[in-house]
Amino acid sequence: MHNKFIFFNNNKIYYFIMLGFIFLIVSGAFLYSNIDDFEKKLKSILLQESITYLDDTLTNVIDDMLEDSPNFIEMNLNDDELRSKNEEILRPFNTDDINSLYLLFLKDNKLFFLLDTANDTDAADLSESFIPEETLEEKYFNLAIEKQAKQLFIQNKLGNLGFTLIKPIIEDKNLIGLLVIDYTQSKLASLSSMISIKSLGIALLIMIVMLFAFIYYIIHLNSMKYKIYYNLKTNTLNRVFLTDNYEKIDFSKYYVVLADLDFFKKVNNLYGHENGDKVITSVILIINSLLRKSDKFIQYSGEEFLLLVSKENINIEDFKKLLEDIREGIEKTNFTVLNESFTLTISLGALIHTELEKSLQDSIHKADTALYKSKHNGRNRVSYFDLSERKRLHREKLKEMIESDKLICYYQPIRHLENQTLHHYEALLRIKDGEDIIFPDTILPDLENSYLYSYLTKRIIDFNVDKLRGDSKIKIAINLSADDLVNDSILSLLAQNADLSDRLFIEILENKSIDYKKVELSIQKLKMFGYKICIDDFGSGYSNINHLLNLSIDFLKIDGSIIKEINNDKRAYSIVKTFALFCQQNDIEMIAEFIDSQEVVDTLKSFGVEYGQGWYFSKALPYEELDKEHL
Amino acid sequence: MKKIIYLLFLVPLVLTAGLDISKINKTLSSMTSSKEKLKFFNANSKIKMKRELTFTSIENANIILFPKQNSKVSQISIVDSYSALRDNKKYIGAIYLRKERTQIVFIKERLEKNSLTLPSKYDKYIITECQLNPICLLKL
Repeated sequence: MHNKFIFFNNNKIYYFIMLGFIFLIVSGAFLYSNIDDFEKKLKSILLQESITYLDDTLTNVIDDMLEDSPNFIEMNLNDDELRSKNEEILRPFNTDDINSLYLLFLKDNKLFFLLDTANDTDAADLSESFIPEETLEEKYFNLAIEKQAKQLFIQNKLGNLGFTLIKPIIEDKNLIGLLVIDYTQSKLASLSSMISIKSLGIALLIMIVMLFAFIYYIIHLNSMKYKIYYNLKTNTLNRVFLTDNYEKIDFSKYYVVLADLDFFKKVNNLYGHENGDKVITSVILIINSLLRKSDKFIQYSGEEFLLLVSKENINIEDFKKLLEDIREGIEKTNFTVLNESFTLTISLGALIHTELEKSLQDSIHKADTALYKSKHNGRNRVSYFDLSERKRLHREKLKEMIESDKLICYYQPIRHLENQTLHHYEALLRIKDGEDIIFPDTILPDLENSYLYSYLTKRIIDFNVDKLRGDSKIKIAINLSADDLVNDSILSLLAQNADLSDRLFIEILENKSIDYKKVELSIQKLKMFGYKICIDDFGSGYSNINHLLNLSIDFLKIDGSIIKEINNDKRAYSIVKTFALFCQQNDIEMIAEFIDSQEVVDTLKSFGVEYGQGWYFSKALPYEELDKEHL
Repeated sequence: MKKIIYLLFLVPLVLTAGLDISKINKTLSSMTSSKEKLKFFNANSKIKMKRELTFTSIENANIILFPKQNSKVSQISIVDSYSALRDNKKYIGAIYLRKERTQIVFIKERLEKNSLTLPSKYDKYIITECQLNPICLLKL
């Protein structure tokens, strides 16, 4: 069985991560403490490469000098001219990168100056003694003498010296002197800038540590999720997982099944909860063995399970067979606890057409209803919740119509009562089925509590937005329910079309189910976008004037059934007059619907009602048949 | 003339700037006399010597450090130039900067003449009179 989330229920991984972490810290500390040496060695290599050309050239020059002057030291000591000439030969090599270039000879284990390319006050006297700096430099000079091998080393805070090259001078296989080249700090700095191993190393180490920390965090998070989402005794997903992931599960792709073990309390009472859990684990194994990887198994409560069976590659008949297999599998199993055998049965309730439901919670609720039916009808059976065939087919047909261009709106004008000029139109839903027109009251009840309801609202909004965009003068009011107002996708759609808010009015149907608090928030948002709000059918029996004051509405539409009786019924007359006064005092414009005569118009005008709607003015017509007086 | 004054002024500065004072102090503080405790006078205030040595007035000092060239001092001196050391036998040693390195040089015979000794670890700083002379050095 496949789970959407990957859980690492494996302490070994934790240990490996911790070990890796410790290893990283220890090796990091080791590297850090040795990084200076390593960096120096690497710098030496780099230095060697950088001085190769000079080194090779000087080797040739010295060789030539030795060739020209056998007994090189003696001849240079005795001959000022020769010495000057040799200094002149070496002087061009004393470039800006070089602090000093000089030749020393060895006598009595001490070094003395023979040639010096310096011209300034730092020029050494002939046979002046030379003492290398202690410790670091002394070591390399001694090495050069002992091994008769070239030495290259980085100076340690010695004036302007960056690094030094010591070249042994060999005459007849004997070391007679040393050619010393002191490079400047700037030369070293330019090479050092190529490698800053320390900072690179530190940066790399920090990155690796952060990577490890991130991996550890992810694994820890998953581990925490596992502990929260899994029943650790039975190793199955639990209800917490469901609660956190309701929105993430595409329930329309699953059949929803609730299964409950019959009379399981007896098992717990007889054998204890610990043994009871073992039995449940066995039951879970049986059920899981029949499910596929794409299915989800959730332990809903102790002995109640939620199965989400993927609709992929399984038709309804096969699905029903699967549930029977589960039922039979449990029934035919002999469970053994404390050497006692017994059997169990299981009741199942399933919802097949989840694609017609609004949410997973609704689907589970319906599966629960079916489970109740199984329990009520004797247990150890499978029951299905389904709409009646006729209703199901009707919904499917409506869905098809809503998605097609059969969905249209008719428009009824709302006029100023004073001069009967047009103010705006109310859009009224119609479904065109061939020659027939289907009215809302035959559609909407079938769509209630299904996702199709909000889908229909969005289609109506889209339809009227198209009209408004195509006709820059027309003003239209659309009808929304309280449920529509608290639907984020509908609010979002209205927000996207807020540029039309001066011409698209919202009529809200007032009924008993209206949650004024939630609606108030939505209305505030819509008003921010510039929409004008009208409460429709006000006075239809659920009027709450107190709430009205909080809603900041722009229009109030009085229920047509009251308007019709205005001249015949004192109470209707009094109600409308009171509402009119209320509206005037609270800057709310009033619309009266179902106006069917001039007398009604006159009465309404006397109350100060501003607008009217009804067959007296015009019935609702398709857009193409409107007078276009708004143009 | 100006050039000479400039050089005379600059040379000591150049040669004394960057001196390893610690090394100098260690060496000088190891020097002993068979006659008396050594007291020093530092004639070059630009070189800040440490208090490990015993300093006193020029009259009371045994050894003068870095006396001015051609100054008439009766005490034994340590100068700041190799050539001055080579050319004037009254100087027992020289401390100066060469190729960015602090050079400390004592003449063996002159130390002995003044009953001064240094521990053997400082033998590297001691050369003979012969080693001062290139020709003599060659013959060694």
